[in-house]
Amino acid sequence: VHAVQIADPAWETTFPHRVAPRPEEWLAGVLLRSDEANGWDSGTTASFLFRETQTKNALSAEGFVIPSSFSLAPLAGWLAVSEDVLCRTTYLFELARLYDMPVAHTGLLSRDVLFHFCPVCVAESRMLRRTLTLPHLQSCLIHHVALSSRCECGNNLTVEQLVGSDGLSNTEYELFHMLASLSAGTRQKVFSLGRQPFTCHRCRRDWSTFPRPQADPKRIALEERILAWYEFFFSHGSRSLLARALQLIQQKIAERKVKSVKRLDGKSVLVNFPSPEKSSLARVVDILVSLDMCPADIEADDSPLLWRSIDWQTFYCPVLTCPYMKPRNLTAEPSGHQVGSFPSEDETTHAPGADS
Amino acid sequence: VQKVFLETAFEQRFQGILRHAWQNRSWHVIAALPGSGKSLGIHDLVLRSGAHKDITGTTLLPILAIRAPKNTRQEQALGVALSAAFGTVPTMQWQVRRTWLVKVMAQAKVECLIIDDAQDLALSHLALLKELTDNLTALPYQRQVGLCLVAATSGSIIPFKETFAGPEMLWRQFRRRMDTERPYCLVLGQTEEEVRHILTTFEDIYRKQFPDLQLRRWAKPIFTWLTHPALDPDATGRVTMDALTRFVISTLRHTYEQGATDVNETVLEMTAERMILRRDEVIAIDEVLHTPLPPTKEVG
Repeated sequence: VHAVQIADPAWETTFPHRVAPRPEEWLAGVLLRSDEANGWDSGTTASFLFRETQTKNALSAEGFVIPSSFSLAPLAGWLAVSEDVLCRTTYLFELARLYDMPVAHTGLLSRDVLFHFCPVCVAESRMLRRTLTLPHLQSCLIHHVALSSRCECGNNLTVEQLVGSDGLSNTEYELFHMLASLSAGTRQKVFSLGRQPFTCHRCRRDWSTFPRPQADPKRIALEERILAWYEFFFSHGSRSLLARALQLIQQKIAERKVKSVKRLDGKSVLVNFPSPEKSSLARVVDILVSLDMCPADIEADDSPLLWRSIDWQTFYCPVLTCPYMKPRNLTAEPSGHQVGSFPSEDETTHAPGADS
Repeated sequence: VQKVFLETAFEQRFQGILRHAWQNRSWHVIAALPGSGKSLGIHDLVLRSGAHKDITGTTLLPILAIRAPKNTRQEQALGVALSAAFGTVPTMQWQVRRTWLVKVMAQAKVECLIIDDAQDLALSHLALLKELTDNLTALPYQRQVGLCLVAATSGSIIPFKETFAGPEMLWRQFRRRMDTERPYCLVLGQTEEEVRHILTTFEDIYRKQFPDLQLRRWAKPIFTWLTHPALDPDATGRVTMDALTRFVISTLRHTYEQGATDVNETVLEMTAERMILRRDEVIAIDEVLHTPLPPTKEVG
């Protein structure tokens, strides 16, 4: 990646100040750094990209996890970097390879995207890592602090303010306390037009000054296992590997003679993966970690893959008077009720070359 | 087409004053005849100013040169032109852009502002220029910026001189910012001796196509023809680069068509006649021109 000289025609097609994606940086972070470097409001680059690509998405974090609904080519031009480099700020390529699809979409990773960030990463280098988009990760595994998603400026309602303290049982009080803590603070948006990048849209506090609570070591250990699974799938991933992982899950469940698994969020669920493409990676990783499995289990597994027929295979006899197989022409029949099947070993067919 | 920039005596004089403004952050109105090579001189200086956009977000644009917006008095037009000099910029409200411009000029370490075709500037544009430079000079940026209003002129008339002499506060402030020693400059065209040097350079440039080319020996008649009142209506007694280049290119084209390797008196006279006597002649076109045009070598 070179400097653009003024004699270069790219001078006119690039932004006044260029930024280049850094290793492991998330696309949204690149856009915010572009805004900041150019002195623009948060979301200006993202809005400009949407306008150029005629995308009607909302300026939310979801749209930038897997950018499948718009092209990154204009942004690549404005920054004078390759489009590939920009795609690598997401898991677009990795998911496409894992699910064997030409273009990946956010649903393959997860349907629920929560925007959060590490205040230390932001303070050090305005860094939003692409791992922030991975579900189940709530800590920065580099700085070992809990990720922030809310600013303290929000309504910090106490239980008393919320419902009054009279007449509450202990259980009710705990429940309301939990609700109050959940509602505390302003949920942060990745982009906020009219505000500086990397700041709270409500109180304008810089994200780098947000509290940095130390993450629980047990949680860190758990999230390292979660991340190891994601990295395993992203680095070695293929559809067959994913299918093998699903097969291993089924085997584990069968071994343990259970039908449900307690997931990372504590809820018990029935495990049923109809097919790899219908199983989001976040869910697969959730179950794998919940079953206390590690990538080495898959690497060590050499059992054949489970298989089942997609449809009945039907064979027809060309002899119209065949007593064993229903006489039909050889035209392929659409799925539905089929009439033919392999004859049993003692049956004779009229197939060419068969003894009669 | 090969573009060549000749560092002529005019360009040395012109770029000299631009460099002076750049180094001393001084303000000047610089005038020269149309076709002297002002725009090419500005372009050349900007190319060699070290402007670049780094990938780390650092952009350096020591000389911000733009052409004055045409046919509009709106200050936004000048703002958009200034923004475009930095590259692609998303659309933004004028009030936002106004503030942003100061910021981006400071960030890119702009040291000199050059407005080409400044004769097209409206009063509102001049007021905006003053506002921008004032804001750059003030806190938090504290950046002194040179300003060159480069204008085409006719004769010895210097644009803006009368405007800045006005009693209004804005013009008094403008005049106060002008350079003490050389506030208004008129850069003169090429003398006969300078024309001779240029012709020598042309010989070198076109040596491959015309091995026997001897242009410099025709310096005197060429200078005389090109200072004819038809080509020098202001009687400056100087030759513009545009006129000289046109003359040489036209002469060489006809020489080439004749299959000759050097110019001769007849071709030179014919060219002079076309440029001087038949300059405004209307030519009726009643046939399709089948001959392909020979490749043009642009020299400025």
